[in-house]
Parts: sequence; C-alpha cells; structure tokens
Amino acid sequence: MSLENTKNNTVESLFKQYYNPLYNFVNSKIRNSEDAKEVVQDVFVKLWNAKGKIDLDSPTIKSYLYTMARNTMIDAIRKKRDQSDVDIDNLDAGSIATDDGDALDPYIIRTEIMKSLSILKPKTRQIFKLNKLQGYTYEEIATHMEISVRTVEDNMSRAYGLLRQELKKNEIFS
Amino acid sequence: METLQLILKYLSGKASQDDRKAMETWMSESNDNKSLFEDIKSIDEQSNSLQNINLIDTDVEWNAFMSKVNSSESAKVIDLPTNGKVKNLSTNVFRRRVALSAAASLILILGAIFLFPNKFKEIHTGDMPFAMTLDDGTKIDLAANSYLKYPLEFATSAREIFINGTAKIDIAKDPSKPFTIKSPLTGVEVLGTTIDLEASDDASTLGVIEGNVSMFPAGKKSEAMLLKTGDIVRYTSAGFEVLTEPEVVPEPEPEPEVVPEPEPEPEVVPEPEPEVVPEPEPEVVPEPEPEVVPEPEPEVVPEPEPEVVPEPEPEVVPEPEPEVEEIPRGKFKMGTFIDYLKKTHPEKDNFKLKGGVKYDKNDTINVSISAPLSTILKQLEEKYIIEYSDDCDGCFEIKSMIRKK
Repeated sequence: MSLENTKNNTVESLFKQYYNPLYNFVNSKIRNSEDAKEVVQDVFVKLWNAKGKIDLDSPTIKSYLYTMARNTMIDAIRKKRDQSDVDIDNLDAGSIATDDGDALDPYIIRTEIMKSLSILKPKTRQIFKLNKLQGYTYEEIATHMEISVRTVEDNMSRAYGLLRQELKKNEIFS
Repeated sequence: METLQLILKYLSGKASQDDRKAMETWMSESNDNKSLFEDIKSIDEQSNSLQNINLIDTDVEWNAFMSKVNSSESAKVIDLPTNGKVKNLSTNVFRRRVALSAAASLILILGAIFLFPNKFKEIHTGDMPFAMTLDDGTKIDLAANSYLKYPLEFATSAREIFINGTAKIDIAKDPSKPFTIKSPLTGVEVLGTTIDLEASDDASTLGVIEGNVSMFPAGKKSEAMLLKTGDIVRYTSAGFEVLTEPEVVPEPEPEPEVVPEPEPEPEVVPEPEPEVVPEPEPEVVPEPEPEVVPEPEPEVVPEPEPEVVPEPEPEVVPEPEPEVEEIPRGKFKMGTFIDYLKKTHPEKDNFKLKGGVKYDKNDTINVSISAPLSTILKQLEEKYIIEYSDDCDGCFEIKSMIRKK
C-alpha cells in the first residue's frame, strides 16, 4: 500500500523489523548463534555508516539488507577458514551466495507469526502452539484439552484468519 | 471461517475429490480468492517451521549495536557516511572479533566432535513466552525474557539443560537418566516431575508442582536440599530460604514472580508448611535423605560451560542481618512491581500513586525490591522522570511518571 514516502524508516526501525529475520537466516546457514548475531550486527554497522547515502524507505531495502547479510556472512566464513584450519564443510559459501532474495521471506513471515501470536485468544493460541510448535495432531489436542476435534479445527482456522489480518497489517502480505 | 476450514482441509491433503475440485474452481474465480489461498498456504508452511526459529530480543541487541556504533563514532573524527576510515574501523572490529574467536572456535568445534557428540541449541525469548518439548518428552514453558540451552540429543546416561530466567518444566520420567537443570547459582536434579524455576544471576527460586527434587548450589551437590510437592525454595548467595506459599500457581505465561520479602528478616517465613521444617539456618541442610534421591551419579557433574556458571558464593556462614548485596535484585515488569510496592508500602506507610498515573505495565525495570523505599524510588528515577505530589505529608505520592528517552 504505502510504497511512497509514508514510511520514514530509521536505522532503528529497520533494525527492529529485520534483526530476527536476518539472524534466523544467517543462523540457519552457519548454525552458530553468537556468530550469527555478530554478522547481523555488522550488517547494521554498515547500514549505519551508509545512512544519508542510501534511501532507507526504498522498497529494495529488504534485499539490500539480505545481500549485505549474505556477503558479510561469506566474509566471516572465509576469514574463519583462513585463520583456523577448521574445515567448515557444511558452510558452502557458493550455495549461500546463490540463494535468491525471495527465498528469504520465510524468516520474515515466521518472525511475524511468532510476534502475532499474542493477538490470539489464549485458548486459540494454545491450540495453535500445540499443533505448530509441539507437533500434536488435532485429535491429540482434542483429547488433551477435552474438547471436540471440530472445536480444534474452528480455533485453528480462526488463528489463520487473524494471523493473516495481522500480516497484512504489517505489510508482509499485500 | 467456512472458507478457511476448506482451505486448511485442502492443504492438509484430507479434502475429498469433490472438495478439491470445488476449491480449485473457487480459487480461479477471483484474484482475492487466490491471494487468500496463497496467504493461508504460506502461513501454514511457515508455521510448520516455527520450531526452528529463535527470537532474539531486539531491544537488547539494539543497545549493544548502539554502544558499538558509538564507540566507533567517537574513534573517528566526524560522521562521513562512506568515509573509508569508518568502514575500516568497523570491519577491523569485526575482523578482530573473528580472529579472537577463531582459536576458541577451533577448540569448540573439536570439542564438539570428540567430547560432546551433542550440539546445543539456545533459545532466548524476547517479549514472548515460548513452549517446547525436548526429545525425551520433557515439556518446557519458557517465560518471556528467559534463556534456555539444551542439547539436540541427550547423552546416554544423563539429561542436562541450562536455564537463566523463568520456566515451568514438566520432566518426562526416566529413572535411568537423571534430569539436571543448571542455572547460574544452582543445580536441580530430578527424575520425573513438574517444577517452576526462576533463575537469575542473583537468585534461583524453585517451586515443586509435583514430585521429589534435589536442589543444590552450583557445583556443590553435597549441599543439596530435598524438596517435595508443594515446596518453594529460594537460593541466593546467602543460602537457601524456604518460601512455601501456595500462590505460585503454574501459569503457562508466568510473570517474573515477585516473591515479596516482607522484612529483611529471613527467619520470618510467612506460613511455612509444617513438613518442610524451615531451619533458620537453611544452608546447613544436612545430607539428603538417601531414599528419595539416589546418590548423584558421577556423570552428572556439570561440564564447565564458560559463559554460564559463575562461581557461586559459597556463603556458608548465615548472616542474620542481610547486607545490601543480599537484597534480591532482578528484572520485574512495571505492573508487577508497582503492585508489589502498593501492597508493601500502602498509603498510610509512605507510598501512593495519585489517580491516573500512567506507566507502561510491561516495561521491565531492574530493582532491588526489598530495599528501602527511597532506594527503590531512586532506581525508578533512573528510568523514569517522576513528579511527586506535595499533598502527602511524609510520604511519597507520585503524580506522574514519564519514561526517559
């Protein structure tokens, strides 16, 4: 909707919006929480140093951040590889580099879902979490909570509907 | 709603042939239908992967970021966005970090391969609590602003996790594998039970919802204290303290439980349950009863984890007069904290909120709750601009509170 100059992003607002998606993206590749944090921090140091030079409200800011994250991560992996003899075999910089920007959206959606869970009613939230976070089937949830499978289904679709609204509100979905 | 259920059925692959057909027709009818379907589909796909997501507290990270930026800003002359100096500075900082951590990670990685076949996973909850199940079936409800570290797979003879924060833990029974929960100050060993644990660098509070548990100062199993269903005990550098009170009800989303310390007189335990026999000198709790908890297996001896286990203060000598340092200091939500103040320092005493004083109930503040009121207010003033009212003689009446920038 508001692709025009209505955003007024700051480094801080971008940081809070993209930190978790970027962190989870990097962490999924290098599987080291501390290093992942370091990489994301460095991405924003670069952004900070470039502020004034780039348009923080640009619609491409997301891919810009991800590109920086990717490059910073590859740099970090290379340096680590140079300075220690550790063979980081599952950290193939090539495959990371070819990742396409659109494939990164999952982390934004997931982060947003996690944040949006708080808008659900406690019962709906509990059912959603039992199903999605703990892997219980609808039948198991129904037995556990002493409600009907139908009620579980109702709550799940309610959860999806509300989550979609929330994601739309936050412009994750157009 | 009806539509959503059909979509979900379709996505789960459980829809009948007819339903599938109807769904596909419906989708082709309009772009709105199509986008509703696509949105629900991606929520479904992404929420199935939610278990793999870690939410880091962005406020904490932002503060770390700002101090990093500020230190490099003060190191350079002036803010010129693409000035080479700035760039070098930040990459140098990064390079140095990488270089420093390279040696350490070599050891860590080797260690990980040869000593600990297990990889650890860490969860930091931000504003949101988080519920999960470990691979042995143990269920953990981690409250907001808490930290959990656990192995992706447990070792063959013991189960061990690390928690700094608040959690309700429902431990899967497995007598052959004792379950140990480590925290900065204490260890808790159980065989199968449900407990509430609130652990920080300053104190560990444990509530046993069901079962038998032994709690000991970090690294000192010989000083273990045995707890039964219903017991609540706190450990600080001053030692153990029995707090048993029924109000600590297991809530899936616990607030940091403000355990009120009524008076700086540790012996005046409010309504102790008879069976706990609150010894005035709690740390002197003698040898644990052998029949309840089997002698600690040697393999549960905590591996030193550098970042986590600060050497506990082996304060064995009971101090009757609590020193300022012993006052529990911790992070509390403003709402909880103000409620506590209202309860412990009522108007006739010396604390009062003038009607309509607004503050962010969920804002967290780091305070020593049992410090004198004036000290507490001073701590509050670090975060808030407080305006006092003159109406109230000899007491503090707060007229307004504004969060400092």
